[in-house]
Amino acid sequence: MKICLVVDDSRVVRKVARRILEGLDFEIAEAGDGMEALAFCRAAMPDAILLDWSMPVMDGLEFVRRLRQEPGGEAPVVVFCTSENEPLRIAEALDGGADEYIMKPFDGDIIEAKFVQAGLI
Amino acid sequence: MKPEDLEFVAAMARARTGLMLGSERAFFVESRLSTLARREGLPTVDALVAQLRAAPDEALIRAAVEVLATPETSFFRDRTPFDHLRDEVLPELAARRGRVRVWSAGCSTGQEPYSLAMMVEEHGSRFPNLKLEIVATDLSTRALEKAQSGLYTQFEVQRGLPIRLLIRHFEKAGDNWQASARLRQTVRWGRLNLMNDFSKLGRFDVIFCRNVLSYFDPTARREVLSRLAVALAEDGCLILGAGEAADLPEAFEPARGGAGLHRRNPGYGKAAA
Amino acid sequence: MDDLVSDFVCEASEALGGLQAGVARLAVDGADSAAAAEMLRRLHGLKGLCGFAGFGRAEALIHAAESLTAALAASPASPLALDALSRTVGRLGQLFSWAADHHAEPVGEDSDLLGALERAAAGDRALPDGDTGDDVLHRSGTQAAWSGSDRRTRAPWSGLDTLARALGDQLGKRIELMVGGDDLRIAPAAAPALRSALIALVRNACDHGVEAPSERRAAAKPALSLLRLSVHRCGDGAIIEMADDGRGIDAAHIRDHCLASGRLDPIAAASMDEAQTQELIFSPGVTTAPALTALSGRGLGLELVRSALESVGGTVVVASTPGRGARFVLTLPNSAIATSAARSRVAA
Repeated sequence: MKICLVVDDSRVVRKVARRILEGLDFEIAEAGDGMEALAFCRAAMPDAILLDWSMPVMDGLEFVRRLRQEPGGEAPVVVFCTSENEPLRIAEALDGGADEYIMKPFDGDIIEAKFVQAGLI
Repeated sequence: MKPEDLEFVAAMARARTGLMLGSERAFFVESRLSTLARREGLPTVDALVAQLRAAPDEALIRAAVEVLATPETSFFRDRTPFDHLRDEVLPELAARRGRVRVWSAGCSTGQEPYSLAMMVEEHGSRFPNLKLEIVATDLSTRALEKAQSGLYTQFEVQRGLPIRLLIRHFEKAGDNWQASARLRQTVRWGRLNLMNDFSKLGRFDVIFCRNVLSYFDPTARREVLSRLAVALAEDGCLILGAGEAADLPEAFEPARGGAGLHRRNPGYGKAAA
Repeated sequence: MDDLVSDFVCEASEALGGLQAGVARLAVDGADSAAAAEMLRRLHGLKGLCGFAGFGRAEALIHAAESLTAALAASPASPLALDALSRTVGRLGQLFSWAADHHAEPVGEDSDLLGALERAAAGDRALPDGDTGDDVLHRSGTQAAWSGSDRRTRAPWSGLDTLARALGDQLGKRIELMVGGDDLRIAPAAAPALRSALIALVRNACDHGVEAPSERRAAAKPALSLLRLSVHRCGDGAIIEMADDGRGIDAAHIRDHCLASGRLDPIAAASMDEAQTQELIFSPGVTTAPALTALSGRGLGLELVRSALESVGGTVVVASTPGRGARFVLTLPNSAIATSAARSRVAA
């Protein structure tokens, strides 16, 4: 089973994402900010990361930049999932190492479609 | 929705468009009509049907038929046909004759032709001498208006569209996204009922007719297919929706790659050409 | 969906605190674009959560509030805008509060509020005639439902706790305000003046009285600064005290400032005792701040406090211990206290 790390400071969002992704046969791990997420990845790289942008301690952009510098950090498929929807910000995220990008609000169809696009399903 | 109302609406749609709406599609019919009812300021679907029965106003009938006949669509729907076009069909056709005409029949709100245009632009190096012409038609003026405007909601542009293509070809318009002028100009739009004669559109190398014909009654479907065969170049291909069958074996047979692609039988339709 | 709703209500209620602070900041400075941008971000995030939890009413309210807040980029917040935003935060608080007990969004109607938000977004600036407005500072995110008539009988010190918190946020200080004492009703005629005075005192305490966190640490004071407002009846009227645990009034500093600006004559200054020097704080044009701050402006706040109290027949004096804090004592005459006759007039 593929593992997806859900990174978001909202418990509600993590719960909704978990439900959707478990329905798509993913095993889910959660992190509340970039720092926690990085710690998780250093222990074991997940197959996929669903990543919020704005979070306390360490935000999504900083996390993905650091992740890509870790040994094995180029492997996980990183899908941003954020309310940032300006083209410049999207480009920034892609430059920083994101593979795909979801703009909130999302639903099950969108997550599925994007994960298919990213080659995860 | 009352069974007799469903029958009434189904009969109306069938007469106009060949569309088949059995009782198993009751939910679909109800949900589409409820959107229309809201738009027309009517409180319920029952009220809408009552209006259609009592005062058959052409505009309302047309609107109802359109709303039922318009298929749901999304960008790069089912993906594989686009991959096939990219990897096999277009390189071949481009090598043979350079100028390629593609018809998106039943294009609805336009995602299909736009997807094709974006795919071709992205992989242009595979078919360097390709001159692509895209024609897109649909029964619904409303859907065509939206398609021409290229304006989509945030939900619509996230279904099936890779993020890189989104930021490359679309601009933010408030909460929505709009296709760039360049992308919009790659498609020629027109209103067309497939039940009517479309020979004036000319001949095409690729015809998309996905998730449209299934809803026609078998006779109407075969009739349209036979005319599509005539409109298709001999070495062209017809692309139907996933799970759809071209039940006119004398005209079409499934292509090697599958994915809804069908090749025209060389002998068919020669007399009519 | 129950546990999702519980989580949602929890998160959403917390989010209201941030929105509340944002509205308070806009009330202080209607052109505070940073506050507006922050509010927009919070509203957008909260709206998404409402979508997940199926809270359509809240979603619609937030959407309208978002449109209005976005419009604030072009022009400063008008009285109508502030009123509408403040009422929206209150309405959301009611919704979430009910939802906490019933695990679902309450069914109801918000067309009045949605209309106000839309009008404000479209550029209407003034409140409708006769409407004195929903006092922006009155709101608390967890406030229980209250009826329209409360507006005219609520106390002049309500909502000051929210103001203090918001100002603290803005200044990077942790400030709480507590109200205690007798249940006293102020006469409607005297209430506005008293309220202005109290607001000015709170602003002054937050801005000048309470030290920056580093200074408080150095002085071995708790990080949280407490402002205490107490209200007491006494024979001839009432006494209201506002005390803080800040740095107190630097009498020498004030005296020097007054001497330097020519407001004080050196000979008179020489014969003033500590208490009298502290009273200088109420003189026109005095500022105890090293620099002008946006919050307390040109230091006229305290002068206004005295004139406001005097306009209702009251007085204000200050007592301060340098390093420990300051205490402002306001006295009000009986005429400023509501009698039952006055109350029933208000309720009519």
